[in-house]
Amino acid sequence: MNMLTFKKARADMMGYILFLGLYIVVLAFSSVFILSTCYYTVERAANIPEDVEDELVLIPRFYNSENCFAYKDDIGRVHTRVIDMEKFKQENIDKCFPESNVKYDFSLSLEVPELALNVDPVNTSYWEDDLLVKKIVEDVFVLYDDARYDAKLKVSIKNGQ
Amino acid sequence: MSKRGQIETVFLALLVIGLVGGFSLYYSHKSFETDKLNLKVAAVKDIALIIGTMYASPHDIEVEYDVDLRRFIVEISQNKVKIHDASSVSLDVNNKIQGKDKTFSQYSFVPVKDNYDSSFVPVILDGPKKLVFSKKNGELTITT
Repeated sequence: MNMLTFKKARADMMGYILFLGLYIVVLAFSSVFILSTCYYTVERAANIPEDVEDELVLIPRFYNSENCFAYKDDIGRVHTRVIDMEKFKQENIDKCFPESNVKYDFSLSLEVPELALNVDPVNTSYWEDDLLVKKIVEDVFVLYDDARYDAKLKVSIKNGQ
Repeated sequence: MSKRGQIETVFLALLVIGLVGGFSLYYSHKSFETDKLNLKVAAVKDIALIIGTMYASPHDIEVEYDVDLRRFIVEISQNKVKIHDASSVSLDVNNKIQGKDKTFSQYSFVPVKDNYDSSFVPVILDGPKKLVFSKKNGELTITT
């Protein structure tokens, strides 16, 4: 009789422990779910659409800013989308795109079909050659020996995050 | 355990789970404070993108960012924007940030080296109602 009571008590205890374990698991999952929902909402509310930061915000400085490659004439006007061939150097890209914590890195090369000219690439600070890069081509002009030519600015974009 | 005892235990456990879940939701909501964290995260990105865009422009340009940030302290350094909750940090007499906001938000932008070497002074703005970004002769200034 005593043995039967002991077995029953042990079975009850096991059931209780099992229930407690399940309770803790459910509680943990509920908490994780609630917190991840909150974070997801925050991230979604502040998400920067794809291609905006790299293509619309960062790349234009390469051909629009006088600190990068944009041509500046004698009276001080900066000609947007006109690249001064003499300025297409690593030294200039270091100046106009200094080290920072943005997640993008760029490699730029220039092709001038009329002159059958391919200029070696210049890279931003943390650029490393990688197959997993996005490539875009921007139509620009190039100023070379006081003449203006159609050119292709080939930009490789690496997303570091 | 009797059948009735088991039902009572299950009911009690469900009640506890419900209460704990309810309190979790309440405190999560309180810590995320409806739109406060959303605004903090969105505003740093907005400001960083505005500054990045202005650096890309060859022209003099003025942009008004008309978003009420009175609940925050905005810190713009040479290549980073940070926003702190004004209820967690304050500014001392030297305009330095005192205290710590555990959920501060930050986002990076790319400056132009000439600009930040010569002219750009880090800016700390206490509860701005709006921000005005102005770029003239290559120099960027940020006012309220």
